[in-house]
Amino acid sequence: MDLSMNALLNNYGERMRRLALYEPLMSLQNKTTRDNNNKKIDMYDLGLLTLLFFFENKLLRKWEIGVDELSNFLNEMTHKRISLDKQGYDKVATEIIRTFRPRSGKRLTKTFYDWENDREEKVFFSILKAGKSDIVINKQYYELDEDGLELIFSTREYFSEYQLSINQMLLRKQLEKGEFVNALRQIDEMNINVATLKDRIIRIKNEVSRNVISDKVFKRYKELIEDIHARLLREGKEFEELRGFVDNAIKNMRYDVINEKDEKIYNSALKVSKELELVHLEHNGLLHESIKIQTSTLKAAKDAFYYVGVESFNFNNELASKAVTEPLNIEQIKLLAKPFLLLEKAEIWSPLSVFVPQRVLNKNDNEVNMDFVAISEQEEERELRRTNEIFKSIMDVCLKHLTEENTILISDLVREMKKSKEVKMLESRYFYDFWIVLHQLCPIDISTQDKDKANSTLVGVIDLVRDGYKTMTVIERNDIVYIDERFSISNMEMKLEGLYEL
Amino acid sequence: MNYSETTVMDAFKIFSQLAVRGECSLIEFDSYMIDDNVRGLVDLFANEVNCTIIVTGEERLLMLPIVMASPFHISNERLKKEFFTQSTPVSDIYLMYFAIIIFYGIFYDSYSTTEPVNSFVSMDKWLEIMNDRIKTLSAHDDEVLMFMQKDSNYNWKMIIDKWESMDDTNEQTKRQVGATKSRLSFMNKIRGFLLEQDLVNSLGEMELELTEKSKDIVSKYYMDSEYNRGILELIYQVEVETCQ
Repeated sequence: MDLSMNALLNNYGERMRRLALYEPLMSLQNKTTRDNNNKKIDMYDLGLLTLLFFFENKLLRKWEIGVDELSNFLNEMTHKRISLDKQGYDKVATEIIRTFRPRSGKRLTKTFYDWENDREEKVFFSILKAGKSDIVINKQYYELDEDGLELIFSTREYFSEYQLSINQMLLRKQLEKGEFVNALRQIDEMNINVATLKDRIIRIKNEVSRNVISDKVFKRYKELIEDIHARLLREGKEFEELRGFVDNAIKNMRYDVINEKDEKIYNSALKVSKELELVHLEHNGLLHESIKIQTSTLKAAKDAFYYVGVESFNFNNELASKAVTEPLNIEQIKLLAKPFLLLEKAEIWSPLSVFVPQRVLNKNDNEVNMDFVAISEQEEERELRRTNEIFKSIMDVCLKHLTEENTILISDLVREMKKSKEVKMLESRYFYDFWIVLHQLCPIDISTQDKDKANSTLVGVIDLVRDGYKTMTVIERNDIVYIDERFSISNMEMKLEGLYEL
Repeated sequence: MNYSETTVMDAFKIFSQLAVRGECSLIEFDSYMIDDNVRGLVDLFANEVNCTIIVTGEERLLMLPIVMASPFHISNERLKKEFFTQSTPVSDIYLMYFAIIIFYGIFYDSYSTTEPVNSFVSMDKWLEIMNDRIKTLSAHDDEVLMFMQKDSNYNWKMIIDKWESMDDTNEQTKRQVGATKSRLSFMNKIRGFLLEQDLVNSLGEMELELTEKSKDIVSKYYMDSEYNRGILELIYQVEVETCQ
């Protein structure tokens, strides 16, 4: 075997120590606490919740956390699944705290054999430690110890949101220990965190002004921005504390610089101070940015409501149907439409325009009038009369070729017409228009047709059949009649129903 | 210059009236006359949209576009639809403008006074003078006309051709109004236009007098070469030259 034993066993003790951190949780798992319904309580679960609770409070810089607070928190979190009263929760909370911080005052220990160094090893660790206490009301507060933090961090790639806070915490730890060289690295990481945060804020800024289309979304963004702001404030405070700390440290060290090593440390401390200042500055910029978002962006988003409203405005729904479905009177319609109209504007002819430079037109330039040629009423009337005459003569022919059942097919009619000089009629459009118009209008109740309905093209036609027939129908057939190169038409059958049918 | 809020609002009220109607009553909005600041502001507003404000003797304010490009100036297309027919060629409008210049020329035909020398003009007189002017204009060679045309951006040739293509009256019809194509009927159309624009008053049988509005505009703007672009000179100079 040529395994490198050394490499294999490298940091054996360290690894063992990490694993040992889980032991208090494991021991919780073995506890058999039961709730009021005699259901086993998963203490392992509650143990992790407790750790997270302390962690969160540490991040939020809340230090007054004791049994009472923990039991309230557990109650709130788990009351749906665990049936316990306040006393029960208090008991559970106490038990968990005691497991993480034995009452005996002894630190948690783990004994193992360190194969790397070939000897028995004993590690001490502490997950919770006593924080402040309030003797007046006899309360002891707790907070996460270093190993507790490590335990939490080992359970997850920690939230990116809290990366900065965590880095700040680590930095503080390192500063406390005087590890200025490592601290520099921490500051670099913080720098990255701040940059990420900046990107995020800019993204949110854009998102807000783009996406806010309802009050609900608006509120969500508002909360988000407020959260970010609160976080930035908190982090800003921490930064200030850190800087105060570093400044103090440097001040103290200034007089202690004796040898080369001290000088090196002193220099890196100075560097830390400088870098920290830069990060802090950048971070402060973010704070300003978030204030700006809070005011201007949210306001802009509110404005955006209006424009979204305008864009989603459906003229037909909002105006037309409203005016028509519940018949409004003219005054109301005017009011309804008013907001959507342009401002009234006078169109004034100025007597000065007699002198205005004109577009000089050459003789050859024929004036091009871009308007449609307007048809005068007289012309229209003339055209109508003409159409009427032609339709009438076509109807005449139809009647002539009517079968005994008072029907006529286009195909038959065309065949007959082609034999006579009526064939000329087939060469103009009118013949086909005639059929299409009739088909469009049928069935025509002849008796109800108004005699002096002058504007219809069918007045003449109706006049022809008024005396003998009651209704006229034109039904389309499936085949197509080809008349000549120019015209073809669907075959249709005209049917006239007599006035006095038997 | 700092204006008080009331001044600005007063000026805006007047301007919005003018923008909607083209005119406004000075009795109702007297601040224009009383407050120099209001007056200054309204004039500024009007200037901004290429218009000018005229105070007429009849207690009215008028807003008039100075150039065609003003948003308040009626477009040629619109003018055709409102006062002629849609298919009216633009040359009709140009001829009308020419006729209007001639019309005013009859009233203001004196070097000694800027007041009108005639108190009214009959349609016959107007027609007669139109004929004269066109005749003197058309006495020019085509080349000269084309040059003038280019030089002054005025469709002299078109105006002459248009006029000469019409008879004095259409003898076939009894009434010289409406759509018949004759010089008199054309003049009648212009008369209607001027009446509608409140530039003339009709006096009895085919006689016209100027309104106060006309007088204000003519005395203020027509004589100013900035506005008349030498068109007047062209028309009347021609006459002097040909007489010599």
